Amino acid sequence: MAPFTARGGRGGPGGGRGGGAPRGGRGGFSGRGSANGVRGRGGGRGGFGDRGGRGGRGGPARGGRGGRGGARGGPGGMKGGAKVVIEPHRHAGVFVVRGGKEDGIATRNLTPGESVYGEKRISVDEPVENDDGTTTTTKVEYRLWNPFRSKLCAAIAGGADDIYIRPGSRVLYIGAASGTSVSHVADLVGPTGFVYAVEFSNRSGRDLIAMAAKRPNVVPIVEDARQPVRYRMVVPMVDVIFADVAQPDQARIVAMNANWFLKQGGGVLISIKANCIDSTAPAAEVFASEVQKMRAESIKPKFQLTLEPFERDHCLVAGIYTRGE
Amino acid sequence: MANFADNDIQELLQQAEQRLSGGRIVAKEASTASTAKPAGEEDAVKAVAAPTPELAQVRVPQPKLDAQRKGKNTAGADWFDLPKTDMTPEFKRDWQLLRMRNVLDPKHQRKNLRASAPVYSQVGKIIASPMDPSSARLGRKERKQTLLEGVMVAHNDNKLAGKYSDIQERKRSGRKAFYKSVVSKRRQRN
Repeated sequence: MAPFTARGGRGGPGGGRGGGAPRGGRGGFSGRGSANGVRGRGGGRGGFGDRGGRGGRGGPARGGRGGRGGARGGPGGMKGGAKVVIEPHRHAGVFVVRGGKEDGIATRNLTPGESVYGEKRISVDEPVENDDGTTTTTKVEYRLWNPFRSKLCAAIAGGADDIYIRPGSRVLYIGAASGTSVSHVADLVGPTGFVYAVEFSNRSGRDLIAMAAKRPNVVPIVEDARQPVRYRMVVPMVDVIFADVAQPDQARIVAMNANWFLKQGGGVLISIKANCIDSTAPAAEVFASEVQKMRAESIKPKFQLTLEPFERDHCLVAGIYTRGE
Repeated sequence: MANFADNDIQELLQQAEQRLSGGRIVAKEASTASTAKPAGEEDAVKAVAAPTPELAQVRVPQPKLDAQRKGKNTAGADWFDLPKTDMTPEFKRDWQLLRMRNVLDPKHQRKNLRASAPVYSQVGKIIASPMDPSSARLGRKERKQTLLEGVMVAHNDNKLAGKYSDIQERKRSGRKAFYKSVVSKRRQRN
């Protein structure tokens, strides 16, 4: 692994990426906001305000999907009834969907027949040979993952080195909101993994619980992430912590949870929104100071990735938890 | 509660104890298997029968192998046993087409795909939802069996031909052939 690198915009020569493994491309989205022509930057999210009520004690809660129009799940070139090719992505558990016009990222649906937030689904008829020589077709489903709505997907599309999350992992997801991203993480870890989704806002928590009711590997926790003591009885030792809490004391929240639940050598993924940490300082400075804070909390940063063009002034910092080293 | 006799309770407790101890042994075996080696290689597990304590403590996430797919050539448990590509002539043509998408739609630049078709892949169909706007659905006649056919329908041949003739017209104007044709038209009129 290359030492810690703060990478600029996408499309660079991609230094320090572990070679060798067959990469399924970087998702290869065809330019920015190409879908429908309606969606501009950060479409689907409804503007660029603070997304209230996430993780900490936030402001007004955002209900359901929010946003004005646009982004009805999936790139615009992929119309209902169109044929697509599905192949494995570089990251375990993630798939690349190639259509005639556009590419996308997808996860294998744990609950076939249902979409969580109106995202597009792909059905595949899979012939399975029985022991007696006859074949039966089973239906397999994939759900398209929209990088404009999920920071983790934006990071994957932007070429993250490693997402640490893989089938079988236990993930602590802080700032789960309505559980749209969580549903994809649940797909990713599969039936043998677990996702512990923490969300403070009651309103989003309701949607989260509704989503979790259909997925046996999601444990919804409607609690304050600043007080991990409150859910210590529910969460075991986890492999990865993903944090998407737009709060000034984000680093502290993550460190506390890592102290309680994260295993030695576990992965930490933090999505940082520069505006929410310090709206006066330049974004790059804010990111650097957050990385410093992580270092102080014995999280060894591995790479930093801007989430352009999917989010403005956001970055994702990944690190490894090294307790007591 | 009163229905249970004393020795019944004793027996039940004994059974529970057995089950518990049995469960613990099973759990231990599972943890050694998961830390020592990915599933499937029992010899290796036996060789590392006594793991070091720190190995046994940290859990390494292991996806479960599908029993039905065991022994078949798939992308592995990390990709939920995505099967090997069914290399039909149609699929090969579709892959060629995907590689040449940039030509069909030069306004959108996409990453170049590798020449060889993926080893593991599936062909699927986007599910049309009745809640989608009509612009996000294909009509009955627009639905095709392969990617190639779908693109061929959407692709407008005349557009390229028209563009070509437009450019030719512009380039030819003012040249020798153009002047000759003008002169010949003038002669015809006279």
